[in-house]
Amino acid sequence: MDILSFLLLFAGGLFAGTLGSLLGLGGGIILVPFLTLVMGLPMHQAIATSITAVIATSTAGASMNVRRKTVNIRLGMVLETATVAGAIGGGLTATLLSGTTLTRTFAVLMVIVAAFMLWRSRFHSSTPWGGKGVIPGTFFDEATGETVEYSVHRLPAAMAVSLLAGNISGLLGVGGGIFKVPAMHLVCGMPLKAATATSNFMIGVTAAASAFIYFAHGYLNPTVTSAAILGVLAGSFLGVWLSTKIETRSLSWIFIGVLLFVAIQLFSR
Amino acid sequence: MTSSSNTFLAERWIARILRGGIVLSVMFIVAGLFLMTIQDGSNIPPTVHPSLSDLLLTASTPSGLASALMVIGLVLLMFTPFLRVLAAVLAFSVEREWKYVVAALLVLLMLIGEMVFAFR
Repeated sequence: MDILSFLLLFAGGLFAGTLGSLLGLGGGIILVPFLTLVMGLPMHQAIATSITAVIATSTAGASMNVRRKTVNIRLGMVLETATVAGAIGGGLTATLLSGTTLTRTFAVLMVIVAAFMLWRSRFHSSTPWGGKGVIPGTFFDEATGETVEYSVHRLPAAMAVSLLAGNISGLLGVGGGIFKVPAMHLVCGMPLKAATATSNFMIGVTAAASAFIYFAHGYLNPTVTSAAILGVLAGSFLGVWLSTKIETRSLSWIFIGVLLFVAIQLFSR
Repeated sequence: MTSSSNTFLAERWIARILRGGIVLSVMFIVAGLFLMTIQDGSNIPPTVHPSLSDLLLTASTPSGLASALMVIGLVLLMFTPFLRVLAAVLAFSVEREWKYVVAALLVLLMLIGEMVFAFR
């Protein structure tokens, strides 16, 4: 790999990590199309690179969130039984599918994510539900200066969404947080910060479950993946910093348009 | 010990493993990329079929060392979540929260089973 390719991969990773962090998505939904459309990587290699980058961003983010106590580790362990099972199924399925089928499936996912982003823009963070749930959690909210206590409702529904999110993660190399976070917040009554942190915590193990499948099949390109990981990691930190400086609502609308445009490009390949 | 002290133990162990894993893997990746830039990067194979003998063989050549360092970094990164699940099994066992021990063990067994199946 020459220095120009390295810089391009790093820049792509940086862009994916920054935008993913700013918009509350994983970087995978941006990184996979970049690797296939711009860098010309085969779909399986692009997914392998993306899923490894997802492990990196989840690990870095979770190490901070666990210390802040926003992660509900007990809930994470329970839901991981579903996400890991889904991811293994997704990873094994991906090795049986052609690159074209995977590319088209990814294009469909991009349209679904765009629809989710439209829908997500309509709801706002609500206070946790009252009543008796399971797997209670407590964390200190630095923004409000209050200690938030909550418990989890409708755990079976969260398990079902986690299984689906894990499956999509393993199949297409994305984190799946776009599906899990709204479900944990709106269906299970968790505070948004705890739902986001717990989802991010689970994504590392979910991604690792399928990453080894791609690795074992020889789809992991070490140089491409290494350069992209460094970019995505730097971008995720940059995104966190930028999120306090810029308004992300208009950015979301632009991104929805970009998602639909790229989905058409992928579908017509 | 109480439930809250258990969470504290699990949080402490897991946070250390996650931070250690990401730092160590990034160090190997950066070292590999640095070596690659000062050598002829075109010698690095586009994909790596993982076997220890292949890795040692690759690392024994000057141009292969960069690739081997990157692969070690990536494998360390992939193993970090495994280690944090193992840490959860141990931490919840110490605190006797058996239902979470069972959940973490189930996750660990699925991960090990999947690895054995993938590399068979």
